[in-house]
Amino acid sequence: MKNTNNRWDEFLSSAAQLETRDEASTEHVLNALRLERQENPTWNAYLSHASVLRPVDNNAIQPALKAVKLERQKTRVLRLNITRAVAGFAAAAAVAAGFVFLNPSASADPSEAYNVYQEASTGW
Amino acid sequence: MVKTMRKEEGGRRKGFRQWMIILFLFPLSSFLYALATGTEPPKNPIAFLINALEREAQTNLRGEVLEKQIFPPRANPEQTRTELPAPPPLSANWIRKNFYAKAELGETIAGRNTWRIDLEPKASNAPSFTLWIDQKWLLRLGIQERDSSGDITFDARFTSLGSPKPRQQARQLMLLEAKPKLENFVQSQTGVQLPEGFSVFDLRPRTVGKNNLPALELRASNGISVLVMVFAPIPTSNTSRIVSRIIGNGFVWVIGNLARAELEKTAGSVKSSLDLGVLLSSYQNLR
Repeated sequence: MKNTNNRWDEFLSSAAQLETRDEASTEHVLNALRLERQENPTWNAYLSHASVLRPVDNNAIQPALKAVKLERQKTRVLRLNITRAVAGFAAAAAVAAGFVFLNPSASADPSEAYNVYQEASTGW
Repeated sequence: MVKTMRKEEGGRRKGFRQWMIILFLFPLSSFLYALATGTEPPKNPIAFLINALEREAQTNLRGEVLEKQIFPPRANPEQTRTELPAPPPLSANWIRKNFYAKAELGETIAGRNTWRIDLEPKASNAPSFTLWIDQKWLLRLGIQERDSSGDITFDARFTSLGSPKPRQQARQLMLLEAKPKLENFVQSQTGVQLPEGFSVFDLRPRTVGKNNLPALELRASNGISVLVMVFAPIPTSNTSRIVSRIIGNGFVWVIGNLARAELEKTAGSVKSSLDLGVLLSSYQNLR
């Protein structure tokens, strides 16, 4: 729980620097949620809400915020009002980007995907 | 009044005569070429192409090939090699179903006369292909792939050539066939809607990422163009001709030389509740 709080503090502290309502950050948020789940099982419920979202849909922000609120009520560790949740949610994008950057195993390099394609396209 | 009508009549006749001349000259030029060379363009371009590739599988044709590859991207798009790259897995039936094929007199390549085979897709988002086949040797001398915008994504042609020799170890051309059992499995497990004309031809386990995480790879084709999907526990970058999306508790990557909207549509058609673990274990049971 303490870790979760710390993580959310990090999210909030960097929130001011973020631009939230674009497709890439929405996708990063969803990646962040998945990564969090690996670290902290209490995020499972959170993810179950997030996973139904379409990452490239800007409207996904609203249902995601509801999920944040729900999680806050459930765990009572995230004392955020909804405005802060917006910032926290957005900050997750930055954390996720940083996490992926620092932990390359969390995301496959596009060259790997291209290699898969090249291999599949070879007919002898 | 009568004079005007006669004038119009005369104009129409003149136009008619011009069209007749054009219609006559067009086949005449082909006929004269055929007479001079003793050959004419293949009547069945797809069968001709498959024959040429099967012949190539038995033949060693080397020289210098200038290759330009835009997709998949690489550090040096232009490079030279000693032979043409392997053709993709093919299906004559699927090409017939999904492409308009045309054979005509082709450009000279490395000093050799060619037939040019053009494959134009019926679906607007798919790439088109041109292949140049040597008229006498009946071997490929060049290939070009263009995306749906008409931009060249791959081009390789011989610039100089040796003589063809039998291969010491023959290659096997991969000819595709329908796999209804796989199609049904993929459809029921993932719900994916493949782009128009594409059919599944392979499904295989693979590992992804630096930690070699288990994943499942789906290969589909429209006869000549390949589309790959990977169901993986980690994402990849959304970049040129790759779409990566979260689905259920995993990710799907879609990679292919198709318009981005088509790749996104394909990725978006996968069940959002897909359970990667269940998919992988169901695949094991399928085998």
